Amino acid sequence: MNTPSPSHVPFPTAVVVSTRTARSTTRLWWVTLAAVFGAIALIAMSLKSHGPTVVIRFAEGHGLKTGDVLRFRGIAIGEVTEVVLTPDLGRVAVKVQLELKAAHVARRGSQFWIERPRVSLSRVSGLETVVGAKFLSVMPGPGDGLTTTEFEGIESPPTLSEPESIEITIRYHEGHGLQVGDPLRHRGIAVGEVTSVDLNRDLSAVTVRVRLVGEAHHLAREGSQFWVERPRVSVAEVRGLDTLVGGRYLAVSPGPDDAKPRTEFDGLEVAPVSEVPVGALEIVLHASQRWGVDRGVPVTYRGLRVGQVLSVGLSSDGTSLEARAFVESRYRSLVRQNSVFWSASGVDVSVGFSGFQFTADTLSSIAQGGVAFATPAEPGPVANTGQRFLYAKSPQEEWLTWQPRIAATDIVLPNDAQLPVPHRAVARWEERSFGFRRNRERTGWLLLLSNGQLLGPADVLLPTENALGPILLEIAGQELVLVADRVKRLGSLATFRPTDFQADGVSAWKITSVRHDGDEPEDCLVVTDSQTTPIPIAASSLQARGPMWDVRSATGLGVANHGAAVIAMKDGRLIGLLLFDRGKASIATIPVNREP
Amino acid sequence: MKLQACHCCGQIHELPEVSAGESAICTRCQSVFSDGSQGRRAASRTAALAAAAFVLYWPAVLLPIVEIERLGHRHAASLLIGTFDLFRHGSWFVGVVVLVFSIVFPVMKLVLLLELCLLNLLHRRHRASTYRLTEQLGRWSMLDVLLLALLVMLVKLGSLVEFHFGPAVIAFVACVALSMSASFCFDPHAIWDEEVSA
Repeated sequence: MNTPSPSHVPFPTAVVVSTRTARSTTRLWWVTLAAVFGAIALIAMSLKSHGPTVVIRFAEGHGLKTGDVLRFRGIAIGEVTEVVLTPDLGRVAVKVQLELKAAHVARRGSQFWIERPRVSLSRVSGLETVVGAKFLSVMPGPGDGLTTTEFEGIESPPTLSEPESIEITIRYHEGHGLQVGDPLRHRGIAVGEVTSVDLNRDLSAVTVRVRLVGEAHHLAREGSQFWVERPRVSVAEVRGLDTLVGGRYLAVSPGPDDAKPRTEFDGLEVAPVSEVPVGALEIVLHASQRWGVDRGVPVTYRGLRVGQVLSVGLSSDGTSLEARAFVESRYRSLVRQNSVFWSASGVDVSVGFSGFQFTADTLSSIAQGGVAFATPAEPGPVANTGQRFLYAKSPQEEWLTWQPRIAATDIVLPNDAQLPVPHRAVARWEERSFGFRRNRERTGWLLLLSNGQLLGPADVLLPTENALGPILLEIAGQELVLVADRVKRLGSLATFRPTDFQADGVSAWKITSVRHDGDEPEDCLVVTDSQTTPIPIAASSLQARGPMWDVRSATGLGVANHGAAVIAMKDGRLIGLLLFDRGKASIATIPVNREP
Repeated sequence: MKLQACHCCGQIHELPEVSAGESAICTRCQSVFSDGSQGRRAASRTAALAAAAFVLYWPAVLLPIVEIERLGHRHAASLLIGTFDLFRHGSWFVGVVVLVFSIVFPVMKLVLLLELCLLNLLHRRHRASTYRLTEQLGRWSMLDVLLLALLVMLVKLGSLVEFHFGPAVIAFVACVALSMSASFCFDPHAIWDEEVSA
């Protein structure tokens, strides 16, 4: 064993292989370059997603802190970066970093408020912030507002989130507890809201600024009246009770449609008496004393309220009292030129031999009075707007018994139906009684139908069996001979087909406008000639007795109406004729089996 | 004729002359006997990747990485801010651990890698210690662990809170990947290759 000498070291020789040409530098520097660009891009992106910073000043911070968000329509569009007191400690300045996509809320007119739980009688809002964080909300100003970064925050959120709005100013003598945020309602819905309530400089009035949104800006026109709705309980009316628990609100009664726009108004202290409804009849009452007539008291007819007194004042020469009142359009036909008006106010207590009598109208008229009126049984022409009436202290006995039949509603027949025009007819004949020849006659209304037949009461068209000679029928200036075999009897009615009747100038009633199913009494209209107003008969005063409907109270009807056409109010069709027999009125409906 | 130990298995070889396009390999483990060029290449690769990671490190740490929204409380935090939040909430120990191991160590490792491979600012004497420091730091730098923590957060809290990743996440992921590749490419022999070749 010989130890190997250092000079003969049996180290293996490394194998030499060929490799591809090695580069002394690397391509990986591209990665570095890409990383640099990537980093720059990321930083630029995150910086660029920030929009402008705005500063909002609030009177109160409400616990807002850095990191809270600014929301618009529920989504975050910015973040509070700083909440500091202003140097004078008067306000809290909140710096908000807007996101780029919402940068345009930083414009003049935008309103910012701190959303927080708010539970009041009129509204509950911001409940999500009870558990969650407070947040800022914004309502952007008008789209054409200039860009700005300084804002004054508002305390309470605006109720209406319509960005389009206009502001009006209303002056009141009394604020009635109106607060910023109270709504302006028109026809019961909020159309605007109070944005500020300020005393004016000399402390004599309250200036209320109201923002009207959306279509409501049309309310800002001449003649619009604004008042503070508040609870009011009087015997005449109870109104505004919703404001007892629901908070005050402003109400508005718009001016005329074509009025000029206006933004400054003087508010009304009390709600105006109900506006004069469309189509109402306005009248003027004269009296020597007030006798309980007051603004707002009802105008009654048979105790039913049909209108209202609008105002009470002295006449221009001071000699009498003048009251303006209106009667609603559907009752205006009740007021005739010969109507009488009297005070329905107070209590009438009379003590007599028969005892003690106590008469009072409605409860409200006890305390507030009222105006009652009545129209005589023979109603005069319809009263015109502005008509003057005398106003009596108390009614005469007789007035209370008047029961004229006047269509209490506007006679509106469907399909523009025409009224039938019956013609007065007289049947004359000679008859032998007790051995004497006597001339007899019977009168009634006949209606010409479009098939050439005359429709009328049977006792006019078939008056007798034992006439001596021909029965003559005078109608429309012509004389016809009633030939028995051309007359057809239909119960209490009859038709006559004349041969030589000149129907020119005589309007005929269309046969298609005749109805045969007169089973149930219905509201109908008794029509005679065109000079007389049609007399309505309510279904309630009719009683069916076979094909006849008896009229319970025949007031206003007489023998003169015998044979008058009766048309249904429902559809304007002829349903029968009014017959008058021995002082009793009844409507004979047209039988079904009538031949055309 | 020159003797050189294989840096992998330790077998001593006689190195024949190698011309360009050739290299000597160990007879036992087939490791390549490095010459200067390979070392330089590894160094420049490492330097490139480390530089990229270094560049991306700053957006990853400074830009908001998660946005958490819970009951209207919105919180966007970057890694650095999040760490300082830990201090603010009094978790000093956890704060220090996170700050040191996940924020400071990774960046130090990258800086040291750059120094070793590219800058050579320090005297050669200190290279050995710098290298050892790099080794130790790499072991304890836990940037990638944070990534795991973020994933856990996403999985566990996703249904409870609104959870969004911020722009830093991209930078962060790229930074982690680049940093790992840089460590992988690093060839410690390259540090002394110059001496050898000299």
